[in-house]
Formats: sequence, C-alpha cells, structure tokens
Amino acid sequence: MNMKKAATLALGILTSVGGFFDVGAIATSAQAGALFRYQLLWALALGTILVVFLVEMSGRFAAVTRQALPDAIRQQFGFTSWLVPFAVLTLIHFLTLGAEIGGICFALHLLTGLRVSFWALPVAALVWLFLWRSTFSAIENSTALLGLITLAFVVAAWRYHPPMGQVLAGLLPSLPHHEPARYWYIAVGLLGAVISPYLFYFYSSGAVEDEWDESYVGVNRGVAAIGMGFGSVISVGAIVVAAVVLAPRGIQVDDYHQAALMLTQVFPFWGFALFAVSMGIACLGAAVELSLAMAYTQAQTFGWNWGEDLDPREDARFCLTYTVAILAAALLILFGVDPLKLTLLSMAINAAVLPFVALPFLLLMNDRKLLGKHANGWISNSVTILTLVVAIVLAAVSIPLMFLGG
Amino acid sequence: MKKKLPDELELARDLLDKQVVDRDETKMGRVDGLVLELREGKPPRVDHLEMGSSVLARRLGPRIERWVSAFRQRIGVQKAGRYRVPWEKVQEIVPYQVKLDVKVDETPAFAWEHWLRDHVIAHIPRGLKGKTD
Amino acid sequence: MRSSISQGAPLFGALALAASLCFACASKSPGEKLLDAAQPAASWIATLRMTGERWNANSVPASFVRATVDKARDELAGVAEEAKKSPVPAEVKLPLQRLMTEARAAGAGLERAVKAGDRPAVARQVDRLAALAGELAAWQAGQEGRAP
Repeated sequence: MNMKKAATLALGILTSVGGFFDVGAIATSAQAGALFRYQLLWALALGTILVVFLVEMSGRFAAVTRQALPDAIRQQFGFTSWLVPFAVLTLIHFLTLGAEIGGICFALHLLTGLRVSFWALPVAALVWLFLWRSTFSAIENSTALLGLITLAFVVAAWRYHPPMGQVLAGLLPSLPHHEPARYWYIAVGLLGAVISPYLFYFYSSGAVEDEWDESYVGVNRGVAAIGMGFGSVISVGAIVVAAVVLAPRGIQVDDYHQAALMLTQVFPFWGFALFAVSMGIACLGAAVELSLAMAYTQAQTFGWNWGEDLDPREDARFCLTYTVAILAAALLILFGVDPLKLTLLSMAINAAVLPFVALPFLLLMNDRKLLGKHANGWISNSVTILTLVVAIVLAAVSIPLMFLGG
Repeated sequence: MKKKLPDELELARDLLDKQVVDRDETKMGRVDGLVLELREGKPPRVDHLEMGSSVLARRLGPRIERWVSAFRQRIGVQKAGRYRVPWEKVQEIVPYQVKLDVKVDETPAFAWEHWLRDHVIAHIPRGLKGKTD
Repeated sequence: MRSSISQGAPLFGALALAASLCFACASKSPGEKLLDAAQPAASWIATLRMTGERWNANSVPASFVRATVDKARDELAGVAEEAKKSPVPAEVKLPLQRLMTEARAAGAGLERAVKAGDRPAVARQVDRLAALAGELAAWQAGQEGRAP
C-alpha cells in the first residue's frame, strides 16, 4: 500500500469518527444509558454492523464507478423514481442539520452562558465560512483531528470500570423491565442516529472528491470498518458514562443540560468543558458534512457543477444550495426550537425514511453491469436484506412511538 | 471532431437522465428529455435532447409543469425553461456521461450560474481556492 | 426503469400500530398518568442536586447552574400544573403539588446561593433537595401501590 493510500486510511478513519459521533449519537446514547444502563447496547451494536456494511458498499460503489450515489441513482432509475427518495433525503438533511447546528449552539451556551438561540446566526456564519473557504481535504483533516477530543468519553468510561458482565449482557437484545414505549423509542432513535442515510450518501460523494478509483476498494474496507467501529466505541463510552453517572441518581436526559453533567464527576475540573467542546466539535463536523451532503444531492440530481475544491465562481448553484441549507436550518434554532427535541425528531424521521433511501442504493449494489466483479456478494446481500427488514420495521414503528414515548 | 458513439443505444438506459458535459468536461446538466421525430413509413429518430426545469416538470405531470412555468415567469433568468440540443451536437456517449460539442458558457444551461456569479459571488470576498494536490 | 415502491404497506402498518398503541395508552388511569408525569420531576430534582454538588466541587460554572435551575423550575411547574388539572382525589395530588412548589423554591435558593458564592448555603439547598427527592419517591411508591 503506498503512502497516499495509507494517509487516506488514517484520515478516512478520523473523518468517520466526526461523522458517526454527532448530536444524534450524543442524545440517544445519553438517554439510553441514563434510563436503561447497558440494556440498549445491542441496538448500538446492530446499528454499527449495518452501517459498516452500508458505508463499505457506498465507498466501493464510488471507487469502482467514479460516481456518487445521487448521481448514479438518478441516472439508473430515472428522475421520477428518484424523486421520492430525493425529497425525503432533502428533508432529513435539513432537519438533522438543524439539530447539529443546535448542538453547536448548545455547546457554546455551556461555555459562555449566552442563550442557545443567540448563537444560531454566528454558528451558521462559521459553518458557511468553513465551506466557502476550505477545500475538501482541509475539511476532512481538520474536523477529523479535532474530533479526537470525543475520546474523552472513552477515557471516562474506562476510568469508571463498569461491570463487564452487565456490559456484555447488554450487547444481547433483551426486553425492558420498565417503560417499554420509552425503551423502544430510544432503541429506534439509536438505530436512526447510527444508520443515518446522510452518512453513506455523503461518503460516496467524499470518495469522488478524493478521487478514489478501483484500487481503493481494499482501503475502503478498512476505512469503513475501523472508522465506523471507532465512532461506535465512543458512543459505547457515552452510554457507559451515562449509566454510571446519571442512572443511579435517577437523572433522565430530557434536556441537554442534564447530559452536560456526565463528565463532571470523573474529570472534576475539565469535565464540563470537555463535554462542551466534544459536543461542539462533533456537531461542527457533522454540520459541515450535512450541508455538503445537501449540496451534493441537489447538484448531482440536477447535473450542476459541484465540488468543494472548485472556486465558488465555478459552481455557484452548489454553493447557493449549502448557503440556503445552513441559513434555513439555523433559523430553526434562532426561532427557539428546542435542540434536543429537534434531534429526537430528526432521528425518528431518519429511521422512518431509511427504506426509501436505502432501497435504490441496495439495488444498485447488485448491478453487475455497473460494478462488475465488485458487485455485492452473498454476505453483503444478506446484510443488505437484514438492513432493509430493520429499516421497514423502524419505519413502521418510529412515528407512532414518537407520540407515545417522546 | 471525431464522434464516439456506440452502435446501438437504449434511450431510457443510456441517454435519459445522464450527466451532460461540454467540450471541456464541465458539467452542464442532465438529459431531462428526448424528442423523437416521427416520420411517415420510417422508424422514428432522435431529433434533439432537452434540458431544463420545464422538461423535468412535465415528466411529473402537466399541472406541475404549469406551476414551474409560472414560477419561472416570476423569477426566471431566462424565459424558457427548456434548452434544446440538436443531435448533431452529441459528440460522445459513455457509461457515465454525454459529451456535447459546445462550450457551456455559450448555451442557456449556465444562465443561473452566470447570474449568481455576476450578481452575488462578485460581491462576496473570497480567496481563490483552486485544486489542491 | 423501476417505479417507486408502493408506500401502502408500511403506512398501513404504522397506522395500525399507532391505533393499537393509542388505545393502550388511552386506557391508562388518571393515577397512572400522574405517576408518569412525576417521573421527569424526580429526574429534575436529582439534576438540581447534582448541579449544586458539582458547583461546590468547582466542576460547573455559575451560568450553567442558572440555566439548569431555570429549566428545572419550568419543568417542575409543568408537573404541578398537570397535578392541578388531574381528576385524582385531592389527598393524592396536593402532596405532589406541594413537593413541586418546594422543589422550585429549593432551586431558586440554590441559584441565589451560587450567585452569592455561598458554599454552605448551596450545601444546605442540596440537602433540602435530597429530602424532597425522598419524599417524592415515597409518594411515587404510594401511588404505585394504589394503581394496579
């Protein structure tokens, strides 16, 4: 493996961390740990396995065909068939972007004491400026490197020496002892947070930006598995910390302020700031990815010029898309939408629309004309079918559960 | 310029909804529609490609096309939401794109791009990004 | 070219599930509903306790205490409202309403003490909140015994 590919591996892994552990993961992990301790670890594990396969497929597709997913789906299935997945993908990009911006604003509120809504427009400007001025690799590298701060959760979890028996038992699915509606609601949210459609759609565009070709198929496997796995370990850390710190005190996470207490015991002086900075940086990385994902999807659907490495003069409509997306999402926070409620809503909708956006992708992965020998084998297809089944079940229960358990 | 076209073409699979690029490989849009010329006693032939929001809207339904047209009249940069590409301009068809023998700046495809560039981007300060190696 | 998959099946499933679940929750007694409402109250009292403790340990800034107390007081007021509107007998809901009032007062006291930088006062409010938490837990246990 030559140096450039090795660098891609390292940086790709770090990027996955920034994208995996976002506001949705923080919210649902904290809730899961606070209410059900280690019992919901199985949902995280299941989601991780599925997303590793989805991300690997997405990267493999982009490397072999040199096309990103929205581009290829419109081309292969036609505009009319793509319209519904495209519309729902746009919706979840928008809502999730709002939640991530809310996360950054909350982190700044923790650090400064100023209101969350006060930060909406400054944060929007920051995210926009980042996209306006940076190239794709600059964005990848900086958010990935900064994202390492989220390891604080892993360190905290390790220092608490959680009971390993219970932790391992949590990896197996079990029925709740109390509040079943809430249990399944958080399980659905956890799965929705982990198997975010934006993640594997964005990944394919990122692979095209990084000019991957067929020789990257092997590296891609490593990046997908280790990257997503790493992000998952951080989420496990968050669940464990919530289980040890919040659950015994009977503190539920109905508000981000309650989650903010998580690291203050094990790191008496730095814990508060660590939580805030971790949340802020994870959400910043995710906000940048989501705005780009929105722009990639729009630009590729309509055939516009696109690319973070291009000067804005060359892809004006692409830039206009992320500008409008960021501003519109920030308005949600500016007008006082509660960040945690927005996060939980977007996670539920992520789960609900997963079948619509995953199905075209899964069909493509079996197209031998496009992928040749790199088309899905029986393992990928089995996981694919499992994903689709899980996706349909999630879709059927997530919206009703939102009314009951939320 | 020498044309690179396959011997046989499945319109729906190989042409419709494909990415369209110009001589310099700049992305122009997608093949939103195809227009066939019907001839007496002879098989129909592809007269021209169509690109544009009105074309796309029509595929969804005549009412949607009317809404889109009304919307364009209000804020449109160009009057027609339809750019016709004569078949002669098609230079190359490969699995992932259709290449035209035109320069995108000379076509209506970049109307919005030019407008945004001149009226919005020109007023915003920025450094030059360029490609990184 | 494939057309979009029919949306009928998952939608029907969702509606059926929603209907059955709504029926299940509609059959909750007012006592059970009040018990459900008291859950987050216990959580917020615990949150205020920990916040006070952490401020005393220099782990959280005063601005955080202020924001958390504000949020907690709003939520506790909400629970008090629900109790007031509930059709349960007065001897059930009045203790809960009183607890909410006292918890809100303790929260306000906590905020004042933090603002004044008075650590002993903060510790006193934390103890007060602990006592209230115990009383709330007793109330919840009593309610659970009452409801089948």
